[in-house]
Amino acid sequence: MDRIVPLNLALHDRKSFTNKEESIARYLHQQAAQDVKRGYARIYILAATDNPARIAGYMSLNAHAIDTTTYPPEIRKIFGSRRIVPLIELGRLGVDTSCEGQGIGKALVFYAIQLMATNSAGAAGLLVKALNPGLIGYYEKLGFTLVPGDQDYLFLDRRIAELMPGEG
Amino acid sequence: MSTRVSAKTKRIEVRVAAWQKDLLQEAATIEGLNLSDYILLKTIENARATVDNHQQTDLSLAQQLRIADILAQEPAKPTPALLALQQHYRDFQSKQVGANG
Repeated sequence: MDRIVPLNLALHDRKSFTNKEESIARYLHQQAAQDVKRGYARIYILAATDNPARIAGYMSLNAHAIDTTTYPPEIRKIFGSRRIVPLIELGRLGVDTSCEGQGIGKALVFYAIQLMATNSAGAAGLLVKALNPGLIGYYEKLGFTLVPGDQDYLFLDRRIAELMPGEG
Repeated sequence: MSTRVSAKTKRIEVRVAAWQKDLLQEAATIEGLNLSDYILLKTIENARATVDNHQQTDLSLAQQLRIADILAQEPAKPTPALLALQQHYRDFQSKQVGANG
């Protein structure tokens, strides 16, 4: 039984979703539909139990890749003959203001990890943008590694997820 | 690539490793371009994409190499927090969710 389902543009009420972080709500209001129509991202919804149209929480996943073509040979050989290494990115994740404190965000994070590990197209790991410093410690505890840069990312190796009992 | 060069041009010099030059030359030959035209075409394409995608994910080379490094190591075991999250997810399946209060 899957409680987390792909966004259904005809069913789910995107407009009523609110979040303290304005960009999280705005994405759902303004951009999610276009991303879904174009196939650039998949949005997953956890609906309120008593109202399947009401979005209690959502996340967006998209394909990503690193291109090893221009790397020095000693790095390239890590990847064998594969030049493009596929990844999944957890783009956005948010819980409706009225539904906070129910463990919805955590359930979505786990669902993202599970989808990455079982992704039918293959993925070497899950990327998450470290949008605020508070998130870094949380994801590191889960086994993500900080990938610092102008924009910090966190990365979870698929093989870690596969080592969880019942998920391999 | 033979669009007429506008009045002012500037020069860029870049030092590269021998293997990098060989790789670039090989790629230029495949595309039927001389080395300079190839480098210009590709860097401009790339720069445009970078500017266009600025709002999207953009992993620097250093970040990509960091990920490569992680993938080259033996994976760590799932952390207690990850196993707890898995259990949370399982328990969550039977929980009611909705507006508070």
